[in-house]
Amino acid sequence: MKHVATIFPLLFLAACSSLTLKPVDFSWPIEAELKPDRKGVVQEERYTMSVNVTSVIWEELKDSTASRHTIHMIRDVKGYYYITAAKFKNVYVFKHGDGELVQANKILVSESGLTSPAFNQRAPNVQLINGKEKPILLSNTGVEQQPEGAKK
Amino acid sequence: MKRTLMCFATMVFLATAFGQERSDFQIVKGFQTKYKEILKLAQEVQTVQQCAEVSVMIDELVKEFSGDKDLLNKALYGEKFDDRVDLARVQLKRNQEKLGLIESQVTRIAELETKVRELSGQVEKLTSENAALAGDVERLGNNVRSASDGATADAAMNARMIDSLKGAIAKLQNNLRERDKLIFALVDSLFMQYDKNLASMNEVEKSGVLAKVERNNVFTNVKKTIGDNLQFLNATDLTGGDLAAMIREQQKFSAQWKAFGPKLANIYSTGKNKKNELALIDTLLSTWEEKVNATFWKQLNADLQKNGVQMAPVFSGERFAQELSGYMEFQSKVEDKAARSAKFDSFTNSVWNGEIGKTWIPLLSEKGMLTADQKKSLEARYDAWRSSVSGPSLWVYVLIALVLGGIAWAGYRRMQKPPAKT
Repeated sequence: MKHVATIFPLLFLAACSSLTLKPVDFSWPIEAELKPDRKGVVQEERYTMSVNVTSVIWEELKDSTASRHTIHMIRDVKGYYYITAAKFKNVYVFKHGDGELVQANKILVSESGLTSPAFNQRAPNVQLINGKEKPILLSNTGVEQQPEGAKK
Repeated sequence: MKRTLMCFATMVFLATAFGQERSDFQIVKGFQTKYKEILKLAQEVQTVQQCAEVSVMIDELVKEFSGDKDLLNKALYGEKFDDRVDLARVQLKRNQEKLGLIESQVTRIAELETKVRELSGQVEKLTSENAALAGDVERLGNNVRSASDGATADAAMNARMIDSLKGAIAKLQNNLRERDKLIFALVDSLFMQYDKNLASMNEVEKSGVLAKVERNNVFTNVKKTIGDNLQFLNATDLTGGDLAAMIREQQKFSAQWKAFGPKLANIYSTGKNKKNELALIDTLLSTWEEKVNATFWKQLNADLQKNGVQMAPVFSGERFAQELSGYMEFQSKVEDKAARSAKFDSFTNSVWNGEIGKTWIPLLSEKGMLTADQKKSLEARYDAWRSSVSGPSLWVYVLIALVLGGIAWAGYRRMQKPPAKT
């Protein structure tokens, strides 16, 4: 009876609070280069994930034909998704929502638009390279390391 | 197989040509594409040379991507980098066994193939270095010419410019020579992979040689070498020593091509375009030889004029011997002894013991343009001229003294001898 009295409050507490598993590494080792289909949906085969990117392409390029563009996408350690494409001026950061990706940040990386962007996983950051330009380190909050001489 | 190898070589070139930061995705994609090609080739091999080639490709793949092993291990889910490499090697080995090939034979040919690839890389490197050097020589040559036209009055600066030009010419000439050597070393290593006579090769083997010749740009490199040498001759005023080196190089290159050309003609028996290319190389070689000869006579005549030897321009060894001999004879008969002596001293210092005597005359002999008799005759004419200014040489006096001494000694001995008893 004495034991029951001790265990009962513990069971009660466990039932009330949710479990937290950590640490978690959500990072993708390499970016995905994805071509949207006619509906603007990109399919990432390794992580069996699909997402409609029409809105982000419209937002950035005012182009409703998403299939004309190649999307570069990567996920960082914390689970944020980074999306960009050639001619984009920004990198879009999304977080996982309820059946959706919700914009968490929009990082200005090129005034003239990226020419040949690519992401590299450099945990805890994500590296953005663009042709011969100096690479930029990004996090979900913004630019971590700006190339010399560039505007902050 | 041939087309696949060409694609692979192009990919290797593209991967190394652009030194910009690469994305991890591109590295993984590059590895996967190359790996897929290698695996396909490993399944298609038919000859020992092809086995060796694929073996070298696997080694190169490992070398190229070892630094990205961690990335590839993460990116190639389900497999590791080493697993993939092992799989390719096993596949190759299995086919080798199926073809009944001996491992040591494959290894020996693979070593030669590695050497061919290394040499090919060195040739490419030297080619781009030479292009830059040729530009330097042209620029420095223009500077020196405008300085000598009076644009620059500073003598020290002129001397510095000339030194720089000489340095650049020497380096370029050395590089050209080095590249010539590398090209034929490459060709040697390439043909050494095939034990049998080219004429007795089957079609698969012949197309294998062709693919290698083309992949290593043998034709392009040979043409480029001749072209660069011609350009070098046009752009520079070579001194006797430099020209001697150039002549030797041209003769060596020509001899090597004569040994290699028929082999190629044999494997190109069906390709009209390639046959035309072989003919073009022969023509280019003739042009090179003509140009070297023309430069040779032009420089020799210029050197004679520069050193005050007034004689008609010569274009053969025989005419050279006649004209120079005539010049010496004429000078040795000048009545004014002081003038004769002064001319002789100047000739001795600047011509006989200078570039003409030290470089051009031996070079004429070496090229077979001046016979031993003609050379002796020139030496005799020179000695005669010397005698005309200084009387007989010391050796003549010594000889006369020895002869007279001998006669006196013999006479003395005869007088000392007791009369014979009767």
